Amino acid sequence: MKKLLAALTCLAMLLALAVPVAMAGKPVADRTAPTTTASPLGGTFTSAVTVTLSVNEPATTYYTTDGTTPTTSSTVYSAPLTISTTKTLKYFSKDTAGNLETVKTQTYTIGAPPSTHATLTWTGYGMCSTSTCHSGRASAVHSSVHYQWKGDASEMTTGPSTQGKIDATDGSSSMNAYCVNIEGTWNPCAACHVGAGARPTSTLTPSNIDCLICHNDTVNAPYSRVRNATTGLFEPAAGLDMNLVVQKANIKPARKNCLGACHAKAGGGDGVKRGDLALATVTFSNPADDAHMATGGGNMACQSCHTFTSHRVIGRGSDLRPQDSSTDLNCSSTTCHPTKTTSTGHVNADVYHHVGRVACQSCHIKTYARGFQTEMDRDWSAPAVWNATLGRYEPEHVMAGNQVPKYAFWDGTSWGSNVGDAAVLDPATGAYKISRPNGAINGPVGTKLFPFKYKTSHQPMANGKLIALKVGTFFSTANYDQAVKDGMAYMGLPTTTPYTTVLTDEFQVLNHQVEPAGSVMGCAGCHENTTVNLKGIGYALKAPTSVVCIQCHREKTPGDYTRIHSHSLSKGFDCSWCHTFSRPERGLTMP
Amino acid sequence: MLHFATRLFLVIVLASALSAVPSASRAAASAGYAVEIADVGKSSDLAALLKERGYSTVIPPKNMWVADQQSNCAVWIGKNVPLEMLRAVLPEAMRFNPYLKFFYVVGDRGEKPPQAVENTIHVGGSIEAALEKKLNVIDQQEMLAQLGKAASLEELHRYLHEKNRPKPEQKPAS
Ligand code: HEC
Ligand code: HEC
Ligand code: HEC
Ligand code: HEC
Ligand code: HEC
Ligand code: HEC
Repeated sequence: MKKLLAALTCLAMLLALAVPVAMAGKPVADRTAPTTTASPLGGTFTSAVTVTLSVNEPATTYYTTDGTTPTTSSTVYSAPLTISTTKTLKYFSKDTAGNLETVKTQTYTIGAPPSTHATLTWTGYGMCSTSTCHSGRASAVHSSVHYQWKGDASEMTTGPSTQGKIDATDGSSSMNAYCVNIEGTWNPCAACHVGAGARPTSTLTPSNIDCLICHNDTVNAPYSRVRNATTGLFEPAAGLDMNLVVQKANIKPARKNCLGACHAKAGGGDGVKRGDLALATVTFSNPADDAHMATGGGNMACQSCHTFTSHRVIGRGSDLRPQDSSTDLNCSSTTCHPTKTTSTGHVNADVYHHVGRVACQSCHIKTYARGFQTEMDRDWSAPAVWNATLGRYEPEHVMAGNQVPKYAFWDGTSWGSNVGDAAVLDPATGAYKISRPNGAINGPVGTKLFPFKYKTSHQPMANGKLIALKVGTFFSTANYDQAVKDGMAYMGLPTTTPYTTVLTDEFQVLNHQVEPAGSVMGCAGCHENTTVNLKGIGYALKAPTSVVCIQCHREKTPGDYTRIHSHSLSKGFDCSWCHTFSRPERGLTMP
Repeated sequence: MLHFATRLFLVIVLASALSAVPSASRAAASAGYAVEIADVGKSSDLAALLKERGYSTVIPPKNMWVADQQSNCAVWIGKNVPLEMLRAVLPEAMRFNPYLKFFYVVGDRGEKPPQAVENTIHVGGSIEAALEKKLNVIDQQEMLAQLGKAASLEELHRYLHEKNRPKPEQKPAS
């Protein structure tokens, strides 16, 4: 008996060992269902359409066109199908191993779609996004940063791979030196969202996409929206001829669409956040105010620079976290200023040796907030100011026009403080950082000197973190202490945590309000330290002349900046002989 | 108990005396109080009319929250503003802006506005703020009726407090 058991055990073990070996030799059993593709896919067609079904492996395809679910007793596909009236095609395939594909459905709508906007009747926000019209655009808008308020943060060197303005406590929600963060207060912020009032989700809800906010004819059929007093959702303002609004909606956005609805009002008021965009940008006529956008200048639309491809816009700037598109927005491209980075692009030959390291904006935007005011400082801890229209308190803030930028190196990536991050003090400014361009004087090629709006704020800090104080509490009570405590609760900190008010700051790159050719920054604007203190940002000598000059000859007095720099421009010596940085891209003689 | 005729007589005397009060003396009652009107619709006509009746009125410079009658459909009521003044101003304000639908006594939720705000009626507050505060829509007819029948300022304030109680399902998510 024992022997038999032992023999059986041995046999079992042998079998156990042998089975995998045996299986390796035979073909692996096919357990993968076939995939059938219809071409073209369903959609709207003006006339009969011929549909081909193809399978990725030997299989039999079954289909129906009467809306019923096909089975293996349905018609077998053998040749392309001609669909001449609106039909729903359902199909699946079964491969030779018997694997069944799940049933797929395509709807072919035959008949002319509204070929023109001219006959449309308004039926609600969802009307734009039907399959006969713009369902593709609706899904493009839905996935864009304009809708999701978050996106690809690959140009950020801090935080997770997806970041943005939308509130979250997972480290992805950006702070700024204006309203700090939206911390659960979606509603007032939604006034600036391309939806119809509801929070963005990952599911596409056509009725929550407001195409009209960007696409309305601001001259002949202006559209505006108001909140429904009961639902809080948006609806067209009373008295609008909405049929006319949609009939005229096939228009490209004008500056007024982008600025009037949102971009001029960022930060909570006209011109508050962007030092170079305001409601005035809609109507500037004098090119001196904005050479590109003034009606008497280029009169350009925003998307002339910020091109949209599948409703993804280019141009992130330095302080926004997500990029909608990985394509960069450059001043010199095949379509715009193609020669300005070349040796003959500028009349003044000296400009050429700058363009590699000095951004166009640095010479072409001398001042910002020309013709309007922008916020320079905000103090949440100071006595609040009453806003009569909103019946609420607002933080004290300093507005100013005609500001001189601060200059910093920027390599295109940024550093940002998000809700929950440990606060980081910048010894250079004495403030806790909210947003920074990354870059240094000796950074890689592509790093350039840019002009920035420099903005400060006085914000609470507790446990080493900047607190997203509850703006709503502050607005209604002017009680800073309570607003901070509510903010701490939101962030999961005990409300008894001691806090202090600290200085914070951020840099925001300037791109708009370029000045006309006649008022470019002169050489002296930078080189004699009139406006830009170059020596203070890294351009001083690396050691005294008694050390530097004697590398090559006796100690001499440098003379002015053009004279001393003949060492590089005509004698061909690299900067690093005399400075702490090098310009390898220029092929100069290295020490 | 007075005779019905005597009572009727007294009522008539009282009523005519009240209606005969010259605007100047009514204005005296409103001294120190003001009406602020958002610059939408025919705001200057409303201001002129109220001024004529002896009220001090201001149309503050427009800001980005001042859009149109529909968006500026709230009335912020200073808590010291006398009932008589509300009875005179609100019906006219509603006549000029048929969209007015939020009526709120500033301070009702414990906020402490500056002194001047407590003595001011602000006509044309923003809907954004009304929704943010989760105020409830009050029908103009109902508001008018309430203005007429409230026995005291406190009673009107109590009514507005009840009407504006946030609906439970609309509790702010925090
Ligand atoms: C954030 C603003 C914005 C929103 C929201 C928006 N669009 Fe656009 N749309 C644009 C811009 C900008 C262009 C490019 C215009 C140009 O080429 O100058 C554009 C282009 C288009 C075009 C022209 C062809 C193309 O695709 O480039 C169509 C059609 C269009 N949009 C439809 C829609 C529809 C439908 C919706 C809503 C589902 C919508 N848009 C929402 C800004 C917007
Ligand atoms: C002449 C070209 C040009 C025009 C026109 C233009 N922009 Fe820009 N904008 C830029 C450039 C360049 C950037 C920086 C892109 C980058 O560095 O990623 C930028 C950045 C931005 C940013 C990012 C934040 C910031 O300011 O850095 C916003 C928002 C913006 N633009 C909005 C607008 C709006 C709204 C309009 C129309 C009213 C507009 N722009 C018109 C060139 C332009
Ligand atoms: C070091 C300063 C400096 C930098 C950097 C610079 N420019 Fe200029 N730019 C000038 C000066 C000076 C002029 C006027 C005379 C000239 O053309 O040299 C000028 C003129 C221009 C003009 C008007 C002349 C015309 O063609 O009508 C344009 C356009 C221009 N620059 C574009 C650019 C662009 C694009 C860049 C970035 C690739 C750039 N500039 C970078 C200094 C600069
Ligand atoms: C916006 C500020 C700015 C203006 C305006 C400007 N420069 Fe410069 N310049 C710089 C900076 C920054 C550098 C250093 C570039 C680098 O780091 O590679 C520089 C470098 C130089 C150098 C050093 C040598 C070299 O080869 O780089 C010379 C010489 C010079 N500039 C001359 C001029 C002249 C001449 C003008 C007027 C036509 C001018 N600059 C206008 C900022 C400016
Ligand atoms: C990498 C070597 C090198 C260094 C470092 C150097 N020089 Fe020169 N310098 C030269 C050469 C080569 C000449 C041309 C030959 C000559 O006149 O001796 C020259 C010439 C000069 C001249 C006369 C002609 C002209 O171009 O103006 C002056 C002045 C001068 N240098 C100043 C300085 C000063 C000041 C320093 C230190 C800040 C310095 N140099 C550092 C190499 C150098
Ligand atoms: C031979 C030495 C020498 C070389 C090589 C040299 N520099 Fe300089 N540079 C100086 C001296 C000296 C100063 C003045 C420093 C001071 O006063 O503190 C200066 C100042 C500067 C300044 C700021 C002050 C101003 O007014 O312009 C800039 C920008 C600058 N250099 C850029 C460059 C660049 C870019 C290179 C390489 C392409 C370079 N330098 C190569 C000697 C040199």
